Amino acid sequence: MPKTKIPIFSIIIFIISLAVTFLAWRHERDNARRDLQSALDFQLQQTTNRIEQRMAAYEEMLRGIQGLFAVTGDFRRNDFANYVESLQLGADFAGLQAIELARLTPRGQADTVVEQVRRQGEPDYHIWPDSQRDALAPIVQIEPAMGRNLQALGFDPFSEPPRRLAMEQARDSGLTALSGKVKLVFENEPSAPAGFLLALPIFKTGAPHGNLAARRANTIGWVMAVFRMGDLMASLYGEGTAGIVTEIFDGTNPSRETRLFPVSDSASLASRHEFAASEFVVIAGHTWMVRVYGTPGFKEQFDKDKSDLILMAGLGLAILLTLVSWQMATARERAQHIAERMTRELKESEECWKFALEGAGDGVWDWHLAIGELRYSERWKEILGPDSEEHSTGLDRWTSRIHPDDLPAERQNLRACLAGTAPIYLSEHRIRWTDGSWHWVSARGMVVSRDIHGAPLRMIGTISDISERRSTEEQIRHMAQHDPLTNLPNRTLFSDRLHLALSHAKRNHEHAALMFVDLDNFKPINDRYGHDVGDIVLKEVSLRMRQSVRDSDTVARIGGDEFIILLPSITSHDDAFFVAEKVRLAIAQNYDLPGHRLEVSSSIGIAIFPEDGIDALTLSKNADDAMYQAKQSGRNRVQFFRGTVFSQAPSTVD
Amino acid sequence: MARPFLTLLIIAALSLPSAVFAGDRPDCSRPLTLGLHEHGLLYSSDTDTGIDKDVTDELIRRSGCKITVSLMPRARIWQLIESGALDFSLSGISNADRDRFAAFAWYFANKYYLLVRKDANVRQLADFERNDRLKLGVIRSFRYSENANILVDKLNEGQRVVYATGLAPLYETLLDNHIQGMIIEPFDYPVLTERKIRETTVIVEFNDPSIPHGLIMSRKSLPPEELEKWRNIVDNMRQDGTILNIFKKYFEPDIATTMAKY
Repeated sequence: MPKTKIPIFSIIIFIISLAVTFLAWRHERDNARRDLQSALDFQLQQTTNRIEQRMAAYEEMLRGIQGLFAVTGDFRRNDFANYVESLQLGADFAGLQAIELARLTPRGQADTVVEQVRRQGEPDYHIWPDSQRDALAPIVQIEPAMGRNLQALGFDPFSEPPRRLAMEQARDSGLTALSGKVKLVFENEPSAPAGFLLALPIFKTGAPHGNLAARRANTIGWVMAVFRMGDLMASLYGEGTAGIVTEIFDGTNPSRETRLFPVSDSASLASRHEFAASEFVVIAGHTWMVRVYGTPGFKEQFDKDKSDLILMAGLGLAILLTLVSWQMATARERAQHIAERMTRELKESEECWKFALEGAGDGVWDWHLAIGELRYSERWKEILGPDSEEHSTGLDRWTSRIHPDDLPAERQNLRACLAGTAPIYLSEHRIRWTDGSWHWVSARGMVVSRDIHGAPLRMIGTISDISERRSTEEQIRHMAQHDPLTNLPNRTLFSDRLHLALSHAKRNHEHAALMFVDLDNFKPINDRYGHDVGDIVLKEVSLRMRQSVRDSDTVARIGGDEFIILLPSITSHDDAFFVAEKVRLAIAQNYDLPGHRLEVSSSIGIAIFPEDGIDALTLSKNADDAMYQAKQSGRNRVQFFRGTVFSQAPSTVD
Repeated sequence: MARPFLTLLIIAALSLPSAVFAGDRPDCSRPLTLGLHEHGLLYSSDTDTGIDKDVTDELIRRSGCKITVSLMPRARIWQLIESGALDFSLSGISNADRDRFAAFAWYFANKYYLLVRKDANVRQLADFERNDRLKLGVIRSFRYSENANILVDKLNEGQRVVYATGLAPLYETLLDNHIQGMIIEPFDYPVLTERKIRETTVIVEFNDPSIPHGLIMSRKSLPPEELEKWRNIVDNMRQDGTILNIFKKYFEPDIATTMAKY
């Protein structure tokens, strides 16, 4: 196994997965943030819209009062009280604490004003705080005139910059003006809720107020709506939206000092919060900053942020994908490695076998029948000898060189193997080399692959040179059937041939002759000249006998100086006699040996088939008897079993 | 209905301009409503003057109709125009959404500019967009020229836009350096603090063509033939030089001509 390492492919997949996860995570997180921010923005717009609309309603109310003064022309207490009462300011106007009437009073007329108010039913009326200003604007009437509201009676709002600023702004523009943050007169607690007021100028009845100068000249007082911020907001929102805190600041700079709402100091400034939105709202020429922020509860309530889930899932998926790709990559590597190993082993195995086979002297062949291609080893070529058809392929090309006697069997074996009826192909046959010589080979083979219809596709096998084996076998067989001294057939082979000849003669009603030849006085030669000379004589006798008969006749040696001759086909006794005589005469010729001239004669007995016997045993016995008779009759002669012809030919065979 | 009545009942001039024939007169059988918004030289409640105020007066005079004028935030004006609760407003610009519910009668055109603090080191638009610390103040529901809108939308994505219902707090926060830029038109300079603002800021152009501004008419409250009659009135005001004269009251002659003779 190669050393395990992370493939670059897996690293790329991991990086891409991480990148996709990051993008998806960021996209989802941004979307969620946008959703949260949108929820806040919506809340902010709702809040500003409500404030604007409510303030517009208050402005309209003030305009109504302004209209009242335009008609009545003076500060008549009952008219004002009745008008305010007729407005029936209910819950929709919650937050409105009081409607005040301030009368612009030059310093010199202050006492007159005080006197007037006292006469109208406020005996304790006085203007406060004391100041040396040229112009005063004391509150001369408050509606509803009850409870703590009355504490503001006589208060001079000109003495306080925020109030005075709004009043002057209203006077100059002729429009409603909103004051900055103020502490309402009746609020005694230091932590009292913030307040503000809306001011609208009252002009002299019938006097022009179309431009700045006219407005300044003809302003006689103001009608002012006084608010408690907390109550106003409560009437707008009730409990408010869960999770969203609304802050309102006076002006454009948010701080504890400018905060109008909420009152509580415990509320933190929105800038510290993750989700916040703010807007500047211009109301009656004055700017409020409305800011909303989400509490942790808000995030839980509105949060659809699934980015963490995406992050975790993405990371998990990235790791999973990486592992899978890693597995796939290494699996491929492993498979490749296994394939390489198998290929190597196969190659080694093939080489091993090739080596073994070549070492054993066998040639190897591999026949691809489908494409007709034959592959073979060098040894194969050596065994089959030089080939004049090198260019042609296929096993068939050797067919023409197979010995005709062996070809049918070889073809049959091959066909059986290709057809699948025989598991292996096995054939021993002779191959003709280009020099004309025959060489025995043993071919083996088997079909190793077939197509789906069973037709052979590939066949492999070996071939061995068995010429030597065949030669040895031949030699052994020869030795078993021949006399080693004379190389004549021995008794065994002769016996086979005798039986064969008799069968043939019987079947064809022919005659055959069996001759026993015994050398006369041979023993003395052995005794006198030794066995070597005797053997030479025997060899020479054998040669002369063979030369005296036809090829179809058989001469055999059956004992020391005893021979036997078979003539398988004769037409008459004379045929046998002539042959016997020829043999007797040939043997009788002198034997010229180095330093010696020897003479040997022979006695020949003849038995004729079927007259002298119809079986081998009878014929042999009778031929032996005839030979014995020839010995008895003086040797060196030919004797038929029946009759005594002595060197004389019988006339016919019966 | 909302907000202060500028002119509780403005009665039409007794005589009608000769250019308007009887058949061209708008239907004055009911009181009409017009919304003004506080916006630089268009209208200032401090002085109760402005271009829009002058145009309003001229419309009243020429149409002979009773038109109730109210001051209200711009966002609310658009809501009411859409709902049909308000008939007119002035100096409006169009977009696909507004075209659904509003008709326009153009009478001037101008470009939008980015007004940016000198110390913000902004030479071109991209500088502003690149610097995450810079915040832009805009009036809610305002739409500007194409590149200006693109900038607003991009900055809004990054929560870098501060909204207001009027210009005044934006100028104030710009001077306080709580915002560093705002989108203005030539008539946007506040009357009272113009000098200080010009000293503190520079102008960067948006490279957009001039955007026509006009009389906004509610499709819901006015039938098509009425819209056409009001358009004719505005066209006549342009043709006879009334519009140009109004602009000349507030701008140098060349700037006034560029805006009124677009």
